[in-house]
Order: sequence, then structure tokens, then C-alpha cells
Amino acid sequence: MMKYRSQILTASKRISHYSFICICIFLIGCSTTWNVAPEKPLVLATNQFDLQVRLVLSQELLDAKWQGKVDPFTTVQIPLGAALAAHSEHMARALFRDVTVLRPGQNSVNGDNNDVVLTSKIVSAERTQPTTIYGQQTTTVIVEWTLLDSKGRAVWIDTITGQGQSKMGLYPEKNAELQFSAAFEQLFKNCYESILSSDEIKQIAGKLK
Amino acid sequence: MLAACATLHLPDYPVNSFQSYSSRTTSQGVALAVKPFLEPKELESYFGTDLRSAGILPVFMLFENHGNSTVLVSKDSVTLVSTSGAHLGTANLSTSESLASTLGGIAIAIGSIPMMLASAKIGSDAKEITHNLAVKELRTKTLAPSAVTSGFLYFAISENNGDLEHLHVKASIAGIPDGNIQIIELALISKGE
Repeated sequence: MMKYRSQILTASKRISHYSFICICIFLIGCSTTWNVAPEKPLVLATNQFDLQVRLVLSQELLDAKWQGKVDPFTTVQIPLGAALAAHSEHMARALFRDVTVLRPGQNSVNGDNNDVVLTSKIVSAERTQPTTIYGQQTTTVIVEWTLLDSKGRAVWIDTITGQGQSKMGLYPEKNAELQFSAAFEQLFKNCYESILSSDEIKQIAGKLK
Repeated sequence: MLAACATLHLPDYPVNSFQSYSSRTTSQGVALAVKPFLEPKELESYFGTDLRSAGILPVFMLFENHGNSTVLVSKDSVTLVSTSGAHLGTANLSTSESLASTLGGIAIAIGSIPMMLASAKIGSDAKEITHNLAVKELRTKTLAPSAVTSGFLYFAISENNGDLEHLHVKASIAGIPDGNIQIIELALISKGE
């Protein structure tokens, strides 16, 4: 009898212990990281301005991320910085004859020999959250681009939006990957077109190579 | 119940011609038209909620470059001022974050299924509203001759600001690349309205 009583007490303690952990998880929630930002840049036609460009990747850009709740208990972080940097460099090399990439902490190798400086900053990364898995989910990334001339004056600024949509579905991480892939594709395609069609940049470059 | 669970969809605001806006002006080649959104029905239609009751005044802005040189339109250089010159502030999208929390954000579902669905619906609507505010916001960009840009700015308006008829929109427009600033100012609400 005593043996059974001690077993029941042990089991009760265990149940209380696990219940306490579940309540803590319930109250605090879980946090996780999804690495779904597209690393492979889209293919862009090479139409190069005859310009030497310093592409400056700021720490703010490299640290860019989306963070939000995907359900009442789970907070997700989606790092965007590395993908933004890779896509930015790829786009710059498609558009300009000579590109030097400058990351935080690096000194410029060419000094002031660059014709122009290209920088960007993420303005917003937003995602909707449909009520059910059958609802359409939209992911939007907005980036502001600035081109400075050799005197440090702004020559061209544009804020570009990229969006991706899919049903939220049963596999939200997979669908986040699809949405961010589409958003990045639209973002960099639109930025590429904006730079290519800019009269201000054409004036500095003289002509396309 | 299923209809109530439908995701909120907010339409784009259709941009009309410059002449159709009652509050408009042109200065040194830059045309500016503004339209504050004041009616609850209009706010519900385009923003999903009565932003005014949350202390946010959305103002639609349309810039057209009728000049011969490029100018810079920056959302950070547009302010609301009173006729006495008192500066009421620049637009700040972070007000939408406080709005989202006002709406309940993502609520923790506790209890019955209808309550869970209601919580999910509130959270979904809050996200949709926040997303919509970001997408509709006026963006910083250079405007080449003949180019047009438009979007909304969101101003925090307290009850003390009350009467909006004494408010003016003041935009600082920089020339590119010289950086020369010109100021454009016009009444938020045209006296004709």
C-alpha cells in the first residue's frame, strides 16, 4: 500500500512538473528561425553603364529580418540581410562596368576613384496572416535605393516594392520560402528596370556600354 | 461563421487626376495635391478601420513634376503645420504598430472554438491593416521631369488638434543634384470642400 502511495505521489509530481513546463511554454511561446530568403539571385540581362560603382552594404541592411508570430505561440525570425546583399551585388554587376563591394568594417580600396556610390536600406518587411490555412498570404519587402555622385550628392533615389503571394497552407515555412522568393524576384527586377531607365544615371554615365 | 473568418481584403486607392483634388497647388514646377481621409466609411473601406478614432490621420498626396529638372520627394520632409506656424509633426508609420496592438495583434486563443476563431480573425485583420498601411505609404524617390508619385502619409492627430481646417501641409522639395530646397505649402482642407 505504501509502495503504491509513493508511486502515485511520484507520478503526481511528474505530472505537475510537466504541466508547469507546458504552462510556461504556453505563456512564453516558442521562437524559431526560418532560413527561407532566396540566396540565388535571379538572372538579369547585362546592360552596363560605363561607371565605376562602390556598392555599400550597411550593417543595417545585413541585419535586416522579418519577425512575427505565425501562430499564437510561435515567433519566427526570417533573416533577409545575406540574401539582400547577394542580390544587390548581382544586380549592381549586371548594371555597372566596375563594382566594388564595401561591407561594414572594410576600407575602400580605390579611395575616391569611384564614379558613384550605391546604397540601400530596407524600409519594410511585412506579411499578412490569413485567418485560415486556405486564405491568401502576402509577403512584401520594400527597399530604398540611393545613388550618390562623386561629390556625395544624391543623383537618383527610388523605393522599390516586391511582393509574393500564396495560400498560407499547412506548410507555412515552405510557403514563406515561395513568397519571399517571389518578393525578391519582383523587388530586384523592378530596381534593375528603375536604374536602367533613369535619365539622371544616363546623364552621368554618358551612354550604356 | 465561415464568412466572418474570411481574410480582410483592402482595395487600392484609385488615383484621380491632379485637377480633381480640391486642395492642390503648383510651385516652381512641382504640383502637389492632398486629400485627408476624414469619413469613417472611407477609412473603413481603404484602411479596414476608422484610423481617426485611433488618433491617425491618413493624408493622400500626389506629386507631379511639371518642371525641367529632377526633384526629390521625401516622406520625411512633409509636415503638418498650423496656420500659426506651430509644427504638428511628420508622418510616422510606427503609429500603425500601436494601432496593431490596439486591435489586439495576435491574440492568444483561450477557450471555445468560436473565441479562438474570433481571436484569429482579430489578429489576421490587424496584420492585414498594418500591411496595408505600409504598402499604401508615400515613398521617397527622385522625380524626373513629367514623373508622378503618390501615396499616403499618416499623421498622429490628437483630439486637441480638433479643427483640421487650420492645418497646412508643408513639403520641402530638394532639387537634384544641386540640393536647393523649395517649400510648398497648402491647406489640408480646401475652403471649397
